[in-house]
Amino acid sequence: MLHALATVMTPVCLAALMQPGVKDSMAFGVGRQTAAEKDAVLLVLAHGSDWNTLGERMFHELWNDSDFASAVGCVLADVDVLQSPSAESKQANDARNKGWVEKGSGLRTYPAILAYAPDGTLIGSRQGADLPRKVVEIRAVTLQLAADCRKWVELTAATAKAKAGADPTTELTLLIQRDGLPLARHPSLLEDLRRLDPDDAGGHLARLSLPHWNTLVQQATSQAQAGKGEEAEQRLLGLLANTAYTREQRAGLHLALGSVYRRWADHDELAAKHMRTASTVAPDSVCGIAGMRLYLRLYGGPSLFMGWEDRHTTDTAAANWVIEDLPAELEAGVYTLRLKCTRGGSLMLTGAALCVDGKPIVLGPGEAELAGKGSTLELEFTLDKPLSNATLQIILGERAKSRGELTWTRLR
Amino acid sequence: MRTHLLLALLVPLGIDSEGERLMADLHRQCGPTSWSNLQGIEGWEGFASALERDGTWLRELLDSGPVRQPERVLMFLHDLWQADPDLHHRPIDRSMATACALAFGMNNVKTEVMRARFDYYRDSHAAGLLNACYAGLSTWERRFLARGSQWGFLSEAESLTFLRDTITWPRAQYTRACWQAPYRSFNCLGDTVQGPEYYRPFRGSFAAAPQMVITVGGVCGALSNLGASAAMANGIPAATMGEPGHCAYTVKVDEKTWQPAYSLSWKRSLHTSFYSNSWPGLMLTEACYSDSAAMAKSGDLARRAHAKEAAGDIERADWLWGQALKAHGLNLDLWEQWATFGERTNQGPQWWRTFHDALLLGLGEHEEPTWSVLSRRVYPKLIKGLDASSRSRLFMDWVRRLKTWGGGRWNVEGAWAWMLKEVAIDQHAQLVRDIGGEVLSSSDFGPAYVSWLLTRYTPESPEWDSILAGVLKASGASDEAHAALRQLARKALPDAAERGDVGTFQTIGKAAARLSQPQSMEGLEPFEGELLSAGGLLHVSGRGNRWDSPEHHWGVLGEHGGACHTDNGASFIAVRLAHHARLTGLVIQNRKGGNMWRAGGSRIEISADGKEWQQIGTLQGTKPIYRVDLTETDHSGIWVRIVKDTNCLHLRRFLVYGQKRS
Repeated sequence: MLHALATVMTPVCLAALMQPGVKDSMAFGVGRQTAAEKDAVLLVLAHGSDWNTLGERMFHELWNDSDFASAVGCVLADVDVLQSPSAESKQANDARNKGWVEKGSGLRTYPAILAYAPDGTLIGSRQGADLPRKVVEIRAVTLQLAADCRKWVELTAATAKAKAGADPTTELTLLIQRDGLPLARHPSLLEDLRRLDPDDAGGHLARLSLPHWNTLVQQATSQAQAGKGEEAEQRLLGLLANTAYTREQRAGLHLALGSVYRRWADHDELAAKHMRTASTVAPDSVCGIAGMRLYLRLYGGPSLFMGWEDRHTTDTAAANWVIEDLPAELEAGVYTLRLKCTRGGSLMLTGAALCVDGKPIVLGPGEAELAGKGSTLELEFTLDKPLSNATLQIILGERAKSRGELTWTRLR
Repeated sequence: MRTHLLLALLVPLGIDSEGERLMADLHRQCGPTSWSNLQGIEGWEGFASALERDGTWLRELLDSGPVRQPERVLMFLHDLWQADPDLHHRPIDRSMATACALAFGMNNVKTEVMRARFDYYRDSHAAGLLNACYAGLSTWERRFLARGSQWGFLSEAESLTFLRDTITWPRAQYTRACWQAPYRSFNCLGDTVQGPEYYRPFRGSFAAAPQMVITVGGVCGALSNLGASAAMANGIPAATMGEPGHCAYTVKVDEKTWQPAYSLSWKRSLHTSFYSNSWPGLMLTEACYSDSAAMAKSGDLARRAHAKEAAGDIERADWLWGQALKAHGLNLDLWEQWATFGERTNQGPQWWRTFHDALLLGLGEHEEPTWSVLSRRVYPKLIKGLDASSRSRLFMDWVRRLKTWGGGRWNVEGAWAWMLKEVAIDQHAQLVRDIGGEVLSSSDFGPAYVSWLLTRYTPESPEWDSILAGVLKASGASDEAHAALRQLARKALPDAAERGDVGTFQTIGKAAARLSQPQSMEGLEPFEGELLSAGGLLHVSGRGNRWDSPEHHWGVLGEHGGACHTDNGASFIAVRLAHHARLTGLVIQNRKGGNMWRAGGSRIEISADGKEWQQIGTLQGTKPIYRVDLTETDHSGIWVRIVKDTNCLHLRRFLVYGQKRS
């Protein structure tokens, strides 16, 4: 009889073992404890079962899939944040989510994958723009996140070992390597850098502790507006003397300095210089673009961005207009510069040319007149070969005060 | 007469099916020229045929709010259908397409913009990226999504995609989404938000426009548009709204509830509306359209009324209008149409009296929309030829119905002022007394009435005694001027406080301040920023307890000084500011005497909405003056309170300092 029972039960048991686990995802509190006990990384999925469809797909297709659980090699837990719970479901859900506190968790949006070290430190997350919208892509991103987290844990352990072994050089190298991972910055990093490299010979502290460009520029502007331009200038020049900063950071510093000089009487030339430099240093960065636009608006010649203004047409204004914001690369072809007067009187143009390094390369039409408000004029330029970093020079004759728009178009 | 003939020509004979009847009404709304234009569009026949065979779709089109510029609406819907002829078989996409078409008819937005918006919702829904509530929205709700926010660039597809992917929260939390952006009147370069240079250096440099707003900042317009757009990007109905000197927004936080967000005042003007852009107008819209069965029934009766009128049977048409409004008294559009019918068919005073009585019965609970129809359409017909007394009696029929704010606080004072203009000057005092006799006891209308009285008549004006005496006699109170004012303030101030009506609290409070001498500010050192509590209101728990003096509540908030006292037991004293603010400090002046210890140990809490509170500190020890320095913190809110679980609280001053964030 026993033999018969075994014959029946064995395939049943095997089948049960081969079935994927129904609930691989733990509640947050259980997951946190388990991760601590196993000295493993904890991945928490924050989702909303009654409102967030993508999160639910992640929960069912990844967090409750044994294959994924095996592949990811982390403890998986989830927090379900309900949108419209009944009294009973809220009670049950709150009980399951016990231990979860949203403030300080790293959660910004749903769904979110939050990664924690065994000791509970937030290592990083994937949410919002960092998280794809298709589950198959999310799977790949999560596996990579898990790998990065394991690397983080490894480096943290190695750092601790180097610290214990009084090896600051290795410790510093490991800290920087860890910070280079696409994860959150460790809360004690700056403090550790100050300890390990008090003179900041490596430049890491400077680079990592520079405030966000918005804060940097705002502080500098406020100082200048409060009459402390010199103080702000000295501070920013001091920072610029440090070669540790990235191009984008340097663009921010130049923009900040430009803003200081703008608010400091009789410093227009320096303001213009630093705003342009922001653009030269990192032309595609937020600060680089802002610097160029601010320069063109306040100090520069006419531009495609701003058109021309009254100050470009006064008697004391330069007789030559130099338009600096053409596209950096111009392919061979035929282009037009369209001038449209939106206010004021007429302009006489006596010549126009595309220039490189100040030298005319492609001549445009000779004399031309733009009548007053509402009138337009098109100047055509034919490029036989490509040009890089060209400017457009226009020589003015008689002019009345006016304003207008400039448009650069490729015809063919 | 010409209109009747025209209508008769438009209505085809022998209409039998529901689809045909509904299409006939669509034809009527378009008019012959537009209808003819539409029939000339390539593919129109197939589209019209699909529409006619689908009664559900037709009702979505006809019974989901106003159909303005119907030719434009139908052309847009036709284009969507032609690009995707299976569209009407997918209920959610069909409903969204119809909503986009209807929204397209309400303004002059470009075709490609609305098309892109529809594509966004269709594709996001297909990919499962919207809040689950989106699938269950009615067409009228989707019109809010289709309209988008006031700042069009935050409702373009790129912005919506960014917001959908980065601000995805449970529905009710979108009332806080505005705070994703910092409140900055000047950008980091020192350029003012009031000019074009604020965002100009940064446009196009971010992943999407909302990221620019979140990074660079903005003031109320930016924050409200961001909050509303974030909700709408996730398929949750929302709308921006203007308030005096401010921009706020509202989010539909559940199936029935619209929640104001970043709002300072009841004086709201919605940027997305069907008939009335006021807050009570939105409440009526919600009540009206959420009853789809009543909408269908009343709509069908109205369509039959139009058909009967076109056929020349005016009596039957009139009867059908009455039935339509009996079927759904909340259908404001039909009240307006019925009034237009009355004008078109030159109905006399008796007819308008019947209309008036039906209106009060059917729509009366929503006083503001009712008042709008009465004052614009009904009273001008009824009061001609009536003497002042008769007019007053007519007006009082409506005044008697004013018990609670049906759809929310509205400018009822304007209604009373309008009435006064329609009666002789020597009748004013009587009408004012009569109104007061009816509304003074109302917790909602009483404070508004007192505030209105105080703006019309100061206690020093000659009419004050006679009017107030009459009012208070009717309510059984004393008739001495100061005593009268005290009596009024004791009721009206807590009423206004309970309803969060800062304006009314301030009006009544300032008037009541003459009842006490100003108290010295000696020893009360301010914090940096403005004394924001001075413009707010005070809400004290344990209303009506024998130790409190509500007429002195206003003084507690500022330099005048005052007094307040809670009841025994769990207590709070709360300040509601006139503006959202970053707090820099609190100065709390205790009441003198042996019970000063009661304030010690109280929790200090702040809130952005008066519902969810965050503790930020505790009043330590027993002190005559507590200074709570918040300059090094980042605490913000519009409510500040002290709370105790036992005993009671009493103060002379509760001063809140900070910088406005709205």
